[in-house]
Parts: sequence; C-alpha cells; structure tokens
Amino acid sequence: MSPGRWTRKIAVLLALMALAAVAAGPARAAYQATVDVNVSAFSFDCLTINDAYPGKMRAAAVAGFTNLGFATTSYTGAVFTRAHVLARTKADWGYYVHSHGDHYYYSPDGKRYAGFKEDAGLCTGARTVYSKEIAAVRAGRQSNLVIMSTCHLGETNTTMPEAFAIPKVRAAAGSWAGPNFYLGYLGEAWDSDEFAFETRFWSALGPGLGVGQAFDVAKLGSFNVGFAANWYGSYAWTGRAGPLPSGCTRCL
Amino acid sequence: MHARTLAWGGRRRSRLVVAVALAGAAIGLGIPGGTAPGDAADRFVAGGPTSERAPLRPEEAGPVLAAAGAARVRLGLPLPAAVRVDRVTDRLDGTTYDEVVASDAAGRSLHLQRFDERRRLVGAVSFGWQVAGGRPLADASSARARSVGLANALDLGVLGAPDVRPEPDGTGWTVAWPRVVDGIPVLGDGVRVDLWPDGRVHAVVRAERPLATRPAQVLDETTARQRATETLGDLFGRRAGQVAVSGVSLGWVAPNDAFDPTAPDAPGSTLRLAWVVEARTVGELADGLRAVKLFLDAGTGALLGGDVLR
Repeated sequence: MSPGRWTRKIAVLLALMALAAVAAGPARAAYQATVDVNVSAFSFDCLTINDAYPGKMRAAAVAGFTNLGFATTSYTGAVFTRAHVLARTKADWGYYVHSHGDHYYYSPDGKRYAGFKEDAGLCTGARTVYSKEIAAVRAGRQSNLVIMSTCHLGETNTTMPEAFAIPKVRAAAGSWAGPNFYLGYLGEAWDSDEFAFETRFWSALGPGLGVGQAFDVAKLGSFNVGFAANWYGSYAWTGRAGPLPSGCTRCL
Repeated sequence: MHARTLAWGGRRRSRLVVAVALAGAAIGLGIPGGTAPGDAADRFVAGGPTSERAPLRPEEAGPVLAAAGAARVRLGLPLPAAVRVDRVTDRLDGTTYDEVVASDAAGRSLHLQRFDERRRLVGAVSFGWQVAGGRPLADASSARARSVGLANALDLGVLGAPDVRPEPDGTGWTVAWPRVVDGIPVLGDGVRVDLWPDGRVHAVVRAERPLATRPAQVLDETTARQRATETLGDLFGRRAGQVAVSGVSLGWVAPNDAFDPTAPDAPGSTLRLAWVVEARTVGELADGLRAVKLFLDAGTGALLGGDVLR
C-alpha cells in the first residue's frame, strides 16, 4: 500500500474520531441534569449520626445521568434550596431528588400539589417545592428523565409529571410519548428499597435495554413488603439526553 | 547477561524481603488478609454497576437453556428467535445466577429468566408493558388463584395464602409470599408474582438468601425495647423526645451501613437474626423524617444497621 493511501486512511479515521467525539461529548453536554439530595435533617448537624443512604443514592444518580449523556451537577446541604431548584429547573432536561415528599396543601389555591422538601441546611422548617411552582417556571418546557426519590410522588394523583411536561400515560408496545420517563414511588418508601431499586435501574440502563425494561429489571430484587414503584412516559426510550426521539431499537 | 540475571535476582530478593516485612507488619497489626464476603476486591460501590456478567461455555449453557425452555412454557412466554446466556454476579445482593435473555428476530429483548446454581427459577420478566390483553381477572381472589397455580407449576415452593395488591391504574396485580422461617419473617425474601390485568405473567421473583446461625441466647423483647430506646437516645440526642418506638419484632435482616457510612455500600449477603425496632417521629422532626428502623443483633443487642423513611 502506498504512503498516500495510508495517509488518506489515517485522515479519514481521524475525521471519524473527531465526529464521534463531537457527537458524544459537547453536544450531549448541552443537556443539563440536576441531582438534589437532602441530607441535613438526618446528619451530624442535626442529630448525632450520619445516614449513609442519601450519599449512595446521590452517587448512583450522578453516575446514571452522566452515563446517559447529561451534563450533571449535584447539590446537597445548604445549597439545595427551594430557590435553587426553581432557578435551575428551566434548563433541566434531567432531574433527580431524594427528599421528603408528599401531596402538600397549597393555601393560595386551597388544594394539594405534589411537592418535596428543600434541604437548605435546616434541621427542621425546610420549605416545600410544589409542582405548581416548577410548572410555572418551566412553562411546558420539555424534559427527559425525572426521578422523585421520595414517598408518595409516584401515586396516580401526583401532579409532578405534568410540571416537567411528561404526560401521565404509559406509552408501550408500539406507542410513544416522547423521549421522557418519570419514576416515583407509591406510599411510604424506605431508603433501603429506593437505593436498591434505583441502583438496579441505573445499572440496567444502557446497551440493549431502555428505561421501561430497566424499570422491569429493577423490580427483580429484595424489597420490604409493600414497596412499589410507578412510571409514566415512554417505555421504549433509551434514556439518552436530548429532545430527539432516541427510541430504543432493541426494545419492545 | 549474567550480571543482569544477578541484578534481577537481587531485586527479587529485595521484593521478597519487603513482602515478608509487610506481611509480618500486617499480621502484627491484625490487618485481615485474603478476601472476605463483602470485602472482596470487586465489592459493590454506590454509583458503579450492580453486576458483572460473562457468557457461559456451551457445556454449561445447555442445562440452563433446557431449564429456561421448560419454564418459558409454564410462564407463557413467547418462543424466541435467539437467546443469550450469561453467568451474572450480583454485587448488591451477593448472589450469582445464570441469566437467559430471549430476543425476537429483530433483536429486541422479549423476556429474561434467571436460575440459581440448583437451576431453580429465581427471576423472570416479560418485557414490553403488555397491559392490554384478554379479559381482565375479576378481582383479587382471581389473581390469587391464578398466582397459586402458577407458583405450583413453577415449583416455587410457596405455602399459605399470599398477599394480593392491585398495581396502580389497573395495570395488574402483585401477589407475594413473604418468607418465614420458624415463625420469624425474613425481611425482603420470598416469592412474588406480578400479573398483567388478564392474568398473564409480568414477572416472577424468588429471593432466598442464606441465614446465619441463630444466636444461642436471644434477648427478650423487653430488653430489646430498652436497648432500642437507649440507641434512639444516642442517635437523636436532644430530639429524642420526638421519636417513639412503634413496633418491636424479631426478623432476619441483612446488616447494612444505614448509620455507618464507613461500612460497605452493599448490605450483607448473609442475614442475621435481629430485633427490628420501628420508631415513628412526631412534631417538627416529622417534617423531614417519618420513621427509622433499627436492626439490633438478637443475641447481643448491637446495632447491625437499619432503615430510614423520609
């Protein structure tokens, strides 16, 4: 083979590598994900011990979003405030929170909305972040992957998916609700169950399995009696960051 | 060349001397050697993968595929165009199983099955979220009857009446037989069958982790409650008045790092007998924390771990 042909081959190879780098790196990095984890109410600052679960779930969520191509940043302690959540949410394509969650009474409207507690470094008296407030800031903006690692926010009356413009449908078996997925829990969910479920979910995502299949695989574990998770969105989505319909070609 | 060989030999001797010295120091300091369960070099670390997999050799795969074929028929799963068989080491649970993933002609994953070393079915799931189907089961009794028949056909070793729970939005049923040994529940273990609304199988799980030797002497409930109250006092300090014991019972538990972040990230793979103490919060503490569980060693009262409900 002549030196000229070698040079051309190397040039083509370099060009392909550059294209791949552009596609896999900076383009994906445009899609922001936020991981907020409440630790203060159960830490040395407030009690006499440190709870190990939040840190582990935080590590799993950061790795999970990053592996899916999101530009992921995590916040905990004093910087995880209601104001911080509402300031970042407009640009979030992915969002994860581990905190105290419920359907909280919102007095201005005289009704309940799904919500969760900020951390803010407070032992008690943390403020609630309501789905209504998130919805107002996001104003219908599309999101990708939203995980509420809290009690109650996977229940059928949750108002949180719509706040992130995720329709409360389970699109499966040939249907499509866009490149999005919402995951939450029913009733009271213990940390050990949330940790085991989420760890298996993140680990299952990747080549060959989409978010819905990862949800199914995550359920194949040991949990406390009564633990239950729920989802909305598209079963056959890859989980990859971005607005394009990156359907999983190997998913049912 | 000769000099070089001597030099290598000298280095070897030096390394040997260093190794012996390090080993001696480790023994003297009481540093454990080798790998113990949960302390292995490949131990699970939060944020990392939960499992490792490797393809089975054909002579190992044959019996597994035969078991999968038989179970597939009983589970009512579709005939695949292709299958892949892996040996999976689950770092989170400390278990090993063989996993058969079936796909259709287009390469789409249809279902998976898992078998333990005795070729017993320990997990199965049918992919695709197939809520729509035939006529829905009439009620919880129908779901129970269907699951009992299925569990018996699959030889899942279930006894007694299961718990039956509807899935949200009418997406099916969850039927569970929690594991109980000599009248004591094994937390997290048991058999679970998930059904689609019309009774087809969505998933099957059988968890049966090993149990440690039962302590020769078990603390009585009064003593356990007293230890729990003391431990809660230590954990909650000046807020101990806002948390109260709501339940005390014996259970087999996986020791964990709930209150000790320096412990391994994965729960222990061998379960231990413990007093399981649940305590509920009141007042302003309840704004961020609903309850805690303490696992107290049934023999010594030592804290083995626990759980948190935010």
